[in-house]
Amino acid sequence: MKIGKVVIALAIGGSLVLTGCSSPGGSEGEGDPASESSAAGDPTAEAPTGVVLPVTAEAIADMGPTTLSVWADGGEELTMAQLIPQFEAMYPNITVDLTLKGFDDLMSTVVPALSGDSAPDVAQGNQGYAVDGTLVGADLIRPLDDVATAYGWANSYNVSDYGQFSWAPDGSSFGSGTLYGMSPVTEFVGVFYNKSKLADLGLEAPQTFEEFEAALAAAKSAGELPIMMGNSDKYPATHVYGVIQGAFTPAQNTRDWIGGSAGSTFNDPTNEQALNSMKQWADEGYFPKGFNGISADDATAQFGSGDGVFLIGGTWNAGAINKTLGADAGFISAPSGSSGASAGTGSLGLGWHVSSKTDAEPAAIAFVAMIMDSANAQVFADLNRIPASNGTVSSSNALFEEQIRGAARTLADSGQTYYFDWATETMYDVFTASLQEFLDGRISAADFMSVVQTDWDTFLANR
Amino acid sequence: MASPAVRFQRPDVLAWTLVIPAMIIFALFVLYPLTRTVWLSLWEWDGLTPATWAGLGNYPNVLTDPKMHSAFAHSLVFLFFYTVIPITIGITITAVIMRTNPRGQMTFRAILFLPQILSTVVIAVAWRWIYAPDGPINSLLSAIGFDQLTRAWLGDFDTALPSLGIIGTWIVYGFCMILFIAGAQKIPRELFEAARIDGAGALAEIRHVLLPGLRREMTVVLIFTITLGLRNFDIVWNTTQGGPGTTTTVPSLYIYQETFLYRNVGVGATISVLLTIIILATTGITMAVRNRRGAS
Repeated sequence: MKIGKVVIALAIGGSLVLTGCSSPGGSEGEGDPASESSAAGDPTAEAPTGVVLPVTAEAIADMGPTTLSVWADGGEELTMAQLIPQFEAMYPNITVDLTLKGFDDLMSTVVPALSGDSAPDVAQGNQGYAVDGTLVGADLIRPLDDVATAYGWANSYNVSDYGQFSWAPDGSSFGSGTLYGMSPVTEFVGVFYNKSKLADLGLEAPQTFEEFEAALAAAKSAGELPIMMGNSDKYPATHVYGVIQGAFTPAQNTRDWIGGSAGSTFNDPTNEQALNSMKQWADEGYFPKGFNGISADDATAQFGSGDGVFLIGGTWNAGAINKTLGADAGFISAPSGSSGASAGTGSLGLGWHVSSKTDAEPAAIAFVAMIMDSANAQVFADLNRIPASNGTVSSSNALFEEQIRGAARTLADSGQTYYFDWATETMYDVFTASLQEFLDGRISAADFMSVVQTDWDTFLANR
Repeated sequence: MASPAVRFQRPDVLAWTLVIPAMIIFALFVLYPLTRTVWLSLWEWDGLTPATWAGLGNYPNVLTDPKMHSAFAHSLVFLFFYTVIPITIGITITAVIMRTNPRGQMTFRAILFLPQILSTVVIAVAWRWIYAPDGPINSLLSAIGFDQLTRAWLGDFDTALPSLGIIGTWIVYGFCMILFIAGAQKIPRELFEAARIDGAGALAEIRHVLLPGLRREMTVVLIFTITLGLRNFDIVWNTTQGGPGTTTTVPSLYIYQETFLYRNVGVGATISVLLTIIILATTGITMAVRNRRGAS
């Protein structure tokens, strides 16, 4: 029918017109108008505003009734439940509006949120180019050098830890530069072990890589599964590799490479030795059969029910392992190589950032300062988060105590080597998939290093 | 039936009143996103800062990328598992039911349709357990003495893709079967009896009575299963995420990655447009072949 065709044509035409004429991200309102001038990156960092630091109680009281909007990772639920009431009691005119998001959800939404019209005042990001780099490059977060100085963070935290949050102002590289975020806790990959199984083998918790390999061989001969690992989520094997690699490659070299330092390369004999070591473990059956078909959660659960002498995993597994293995659960930081340093995958927690568009700047800064205050370290410790500050905290939980000791050891050794996927935007995919192929014997160590380095070269050439 | 004379007819107001709301929703949720995606594929955009015009430049990059070739090749494998196998199973079960007319059909059909109403995440988690190294499939194989066949079905480079395919078959065959049984019940019983009297065996009955009678249902099933198979995302994402290695990557995986993780919105849009074209082409060709072959 003629009218029908006319209507359909109008509908299609209408949609075309709606979409047709606007340039995405342009002044039509899609992107942040302030960033229109920064397509190539603003060469100068945004100058700090006039707020006096440290923020005084009067300055906040002067703000009148204000809502402070905070976005945090789901893992912060319990810490926020403690700290927010504390904050609101200190500053009665401020109401904190907290939004908690699952990690994947936060990663995909925090950047668009901070660029939008009702951006949160305070938000957690993630180290690396995908989130923090994008936020810095688009001028969405406020530099925090002045805040760090005013609040004396250098007294409580290792300044070398600033690197992961320090960026060139256009977001092109990290590792040094202007500080854009900070975290009071650390999360890193270490070695959980089953105490009774280790005792049955007549061994003590290995401190060096040599001792660790001896323990693995002993476990295998005794008919035990040496290392429980589940790699269907693709990242756990990269964490295991990170712990092995830390025994071979100097931690600073790894950090430099991940941060995009000119001239650094992944094509290195020490990385190759670490790769061959891991492949040898796989060939000797130190990992469960079919580990690429086991999920990380299932591996943790199986370890908890007594399968495996060791589990190389992040400190975030402690809760689950504590519930299942209880007093039988032990933890050590990465076994050290010939350098004696305990080095492995890990970093400070997700960074806390202040939005550059916030209307509640004094309150936002005070909020971040409160989280970073080492006086609150025990709050985190009580919730089994490992404080990165240099004070002493105590815990009634034995496993957590071992984690604090492990953290102290690796932080003192400057041994945290970040996460390999921070190196480029596509590195997560390249590294995880290629490692699966390498462990299955489908590509050689040289191929693996070459693929990884090519991704790094391509990425940095385009920045 | 004589066609009405070509002249301006008074629009049927009632019909239009009922259809227009649907058309508005359709335009808003289908046409607008579709045209906007095509528009976005012509730009290089990170979703935040102003975009740079790329024209058709994204297309050759995507089309020549070997990663995309494997992804589309994997989609074709999924097509086989989502279309060919479930339809075959559906037709077979329908033929058996038409011949034997067993009892308890309604319960039986309800159970077989269940996969359709389950969330794909739930299905993925359940099947991850089924395929696990210590899961039921391996336990069964060990129990009957085939221990050497056991493996991590989703973690093995050679079996991951077909294993995912089988999940797809499981999801879809119930739908095919329901449609075919409903359609088969509209076929006059006399045709079945006539065929039987003429000495037709089961296969001949399917070929000459069942299939011709299920033309419309088959069209719906083909369109549905082809689309589902080619745009598969949830099952892959919640099981292997494209692994192990890159053996189970699919185009929708790259759409998600490029758009939301790597912030190459233009590239994500380009892959979307290409996937849409392939789905339309596949369904179009299938319909064309059927129209040429079939005589109603």
